[in-house]
Amino acid sequence: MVFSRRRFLCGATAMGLSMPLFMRALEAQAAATNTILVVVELNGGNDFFNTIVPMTQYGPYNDLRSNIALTQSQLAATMFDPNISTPANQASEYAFHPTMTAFRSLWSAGKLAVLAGVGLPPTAYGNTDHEQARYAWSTGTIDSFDLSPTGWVGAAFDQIGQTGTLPAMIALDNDSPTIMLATTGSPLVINQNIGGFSTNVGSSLSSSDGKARIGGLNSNDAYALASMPAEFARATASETEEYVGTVQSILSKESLSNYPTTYAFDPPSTTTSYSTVKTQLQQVARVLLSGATSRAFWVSQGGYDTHSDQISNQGPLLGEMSEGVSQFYQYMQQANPAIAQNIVIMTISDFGRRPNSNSTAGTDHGTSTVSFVLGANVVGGLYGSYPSLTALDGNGNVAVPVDFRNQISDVCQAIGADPSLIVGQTYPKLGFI
Amino acid sequence: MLRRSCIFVCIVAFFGCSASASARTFATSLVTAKAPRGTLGQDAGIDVAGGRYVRMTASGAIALAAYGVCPHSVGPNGCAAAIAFGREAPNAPAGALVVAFVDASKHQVTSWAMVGDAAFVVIPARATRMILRINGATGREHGRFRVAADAVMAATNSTGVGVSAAGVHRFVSQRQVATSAAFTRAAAQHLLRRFGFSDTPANVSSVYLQGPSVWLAAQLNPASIEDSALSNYEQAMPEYTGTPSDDNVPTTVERRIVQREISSNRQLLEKVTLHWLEHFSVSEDKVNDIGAMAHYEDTVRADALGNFAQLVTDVSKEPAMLYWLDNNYNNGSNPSGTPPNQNFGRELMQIYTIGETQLNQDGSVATDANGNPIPNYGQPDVDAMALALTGFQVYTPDPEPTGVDPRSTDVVSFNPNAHATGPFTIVNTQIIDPGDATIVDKCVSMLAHLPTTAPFQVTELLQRFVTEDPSPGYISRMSAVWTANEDSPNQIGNVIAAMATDPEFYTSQHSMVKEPIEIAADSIRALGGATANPVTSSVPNPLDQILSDDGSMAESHYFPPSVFSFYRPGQKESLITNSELLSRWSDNVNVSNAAQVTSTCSTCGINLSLANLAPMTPSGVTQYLLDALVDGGSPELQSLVQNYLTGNPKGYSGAIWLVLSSPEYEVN
Repeated sequence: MVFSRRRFLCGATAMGLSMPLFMRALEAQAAATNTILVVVELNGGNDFFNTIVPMTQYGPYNDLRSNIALTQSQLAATMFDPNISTPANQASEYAFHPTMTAFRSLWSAGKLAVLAGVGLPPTAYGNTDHEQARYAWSTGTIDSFDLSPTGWVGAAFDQIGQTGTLPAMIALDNDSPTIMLATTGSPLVINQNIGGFSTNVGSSLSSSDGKARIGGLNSNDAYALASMPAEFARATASETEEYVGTVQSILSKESLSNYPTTYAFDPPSTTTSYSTVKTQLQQVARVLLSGATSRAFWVSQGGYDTHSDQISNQGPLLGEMSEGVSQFYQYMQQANPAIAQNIVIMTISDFGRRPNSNSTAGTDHGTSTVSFVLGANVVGGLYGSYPSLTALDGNGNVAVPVDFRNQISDVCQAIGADPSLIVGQTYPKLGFI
Repeated sequence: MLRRSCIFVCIVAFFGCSASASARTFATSLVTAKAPRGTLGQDAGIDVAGGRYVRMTASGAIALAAYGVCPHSVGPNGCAAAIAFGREAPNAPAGALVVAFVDASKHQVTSWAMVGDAAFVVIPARATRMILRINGATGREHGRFRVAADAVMAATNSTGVGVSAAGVHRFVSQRQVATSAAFTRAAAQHLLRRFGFSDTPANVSSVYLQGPSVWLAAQLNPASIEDSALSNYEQAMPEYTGTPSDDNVPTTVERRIVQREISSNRQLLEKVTLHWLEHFSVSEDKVNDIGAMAHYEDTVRADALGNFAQLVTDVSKEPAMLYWLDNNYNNGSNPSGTPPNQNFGRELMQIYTIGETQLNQDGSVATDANGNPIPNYGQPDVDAMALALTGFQVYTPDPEPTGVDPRSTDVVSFNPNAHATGPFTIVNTQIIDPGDATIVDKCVSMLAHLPTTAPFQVTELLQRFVTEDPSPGYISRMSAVWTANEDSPNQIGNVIAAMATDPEFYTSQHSMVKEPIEIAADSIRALGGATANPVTSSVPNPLDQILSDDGSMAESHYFPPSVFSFYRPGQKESLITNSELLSRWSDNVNVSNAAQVTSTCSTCGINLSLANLAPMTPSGVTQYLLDALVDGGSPELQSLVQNYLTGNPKGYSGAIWLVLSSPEYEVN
């Protein structure tokens, strides 16, 4: 439970409630870099072995999951070697899922890092349960629930500081995501409803009158409410009024008319369906190109919990994700190279899935998965290690060579935050950034 | 920048300093040495030089005053006596205020102190994090506790600790001692809004006068409550119009459930049904069979106040559930072949019955000898449960019956040839295989009778109906009722009754956020409205805004966005976002537009006649609306509404819009 709005705290103490309040650092604990982080969450637990197929272990791979195994001919166009410069027609060790041709291109350009075998430590409880695993990836901890007061992106911005025309963190969703919980500010939550703000109540209350009256109430810091949730709603409402005009103008099509591009990016439109990761990334592009100083974005894609019918479900999702991410990356490079230079896009997912398939042509919850990191400053390549599909643990799952907190730690440093305060220790850098 | 100035303002307010200049000085002094005097509400600040102290009171207020190393020889006005180090926590009784320090190198809690009134606590040099909490019964790490504050401290050197950006994570709930307070009218409003969808001021007064037990006794026996108006309405509705899998086109059955919430007299039944629908979180998005969804909803309603094991068993055999968690045609008959799908086997345990880790009866997390949580199940249990539940198959008879309620078209059968052969060892229990569909009954019964199930289910119920931070005592009391009624056909109803009559229920007023359906339904019910019949009325039903909203005001009961439903119990405040507020203000227009005093709005889809307001003064209308919608409301809201009405004496719609759009209305 976080009632973390800055105004909320002011309002609360003005109420005279005896509330704990810690002094905050007066100077940033860490020096912010120019990195702009885009987190792409793949909800449900993305199956590792059909995302990156181990051609060197193809025999065991096919034996374990013959009813969903991808064939070698299907994978021919997306094969790759750890050596990025190996041409596609000679690459033979791994293969992206056939729908991920966009990532295959980025791989050969040296801008895509593939983090193999990343996940929660096998001894962490709940490592194969959605709730706990997702919570861990959001907070950078494996503590019991709710022990961590912040998400790791939120904690990073608590350190760096949050200033600018819009909040530093923006979430493209309906609700506030745990990953952006912070104590010095909350994310701005954008979905299609931010475009509509009607207060026309028939003939009895004009739009401007309604806004003015309710606006007065919402911005009244001395609005002495006996209820914490109401104060939180008031603070959020006040902030909403502060930002809604800015966000609306950003999200209008006209804001992009100054940025022609020769790249075939899906044309941005004002139809505001935020249901696909591509559309969400389009909104991120708009915000960045408007000049807003926001530096962390969260988008998500659901449907990866492929207990059944994995072939028909996972492929299209991975295709949409890799296309969307690639298009966003390239569009930004065309539209504003200076901003694009700073962008780092990373994926996270609850967990991987079991090496063996099940009788409904799907896979059940497993251990390690693969993450992708992409950016102009990213050192492309294969990191971590691809676990053995023959040396499985007692539960029939693969090893987890890269602790998920290592990925988070490296990215925190790229933003300019001290990771040891967030994930509890310093991890040796994996090297992708 | 605005945020910085707020911090300084907060410091000023907090420490009672009068000028911002001195606030700056004070704030700077934090990182040097001395702590000045100041006031902290009723508490004095720290007045010691050279030491690191935290001054705490029983109410949980903290001032972190200064830093430095404190020699243990300093007297009581200086450092406290040495606190115990090591992993063993001091014996801290339930409800005690405890401070725990997390060690930098171990990332574990290594020291504890129980904090009494006006105690001083030394911060160990290696601590990177300090957690103030109110203890559960065990006082151990991972125990269920209520975090009062949580600060991350950056260790700068061996002699001092700076404080990094951190702040309040949670606040100390007002731990009011439960007293046998009289049942006030405000308590009646609270009861009707939490265990129903609110009600008109007249009905609130009626419940107030008759007392809570009369209302509860009737509501816990829904069959005894006359509901003919709703039945007539429903019988006039055609079944299953609309496109089942398109969540932007609400079907009649989706409208029907919302209509029940607004119009049924069996309010408690509908509210508890909503709880279970959110608990099971089955989505038509995947089920893709609206008849199956309606059948499943009817089953949940029939069992909502009954026996928990029976409810879970019945839902497990519903076609909608078999589709949802892949247990349909799940084949376990070949022990050396491809294993069956484990989705249902896992979630039956994790989400529906026992949860991930073992809980004590007071809801705290049980721990082993090393202080680690104890998982309730492991992969072998998931393997075995998945095998045990194989064999179920849903089919539609051929030829498909015509002219029959589509809900009864699907047939669930058990195919022994697709079923794995038992016995099955699940969670240390051997389940003998009956070779028929009652295998589900046996597995569910076993899970339902595990001791950890009571606190797991009871905590979720309390978080839905009462408070997101139920006390260990409350959980213990309700767990005892749950367990005592384990085999009773009225188990859930009896637990609900105990929850609603517990003194702690009545100290939880205005502590929760409303979910979208409550925001919509409460407004209509509290103002005595009714929705127009979608069959006879050609006007779009405004409740469609709840059913068809893709965004933050969406709560189509058949389309929960994930297995975590619309929000995680305990995180309801995540519903309050910029987007939600904008949606709500916009949606409020529909309700307020319908408010007519002298005529009926023929284009609104809601009948909201407020003829009783016509003779009232602006002050009277204000008081009526605020009583109905926000239990009276704050002075600021009262003057806002009254000012508006004074200038617009017939502006009932505008006044309603203002109240519904206020922050106070967001609160349950």
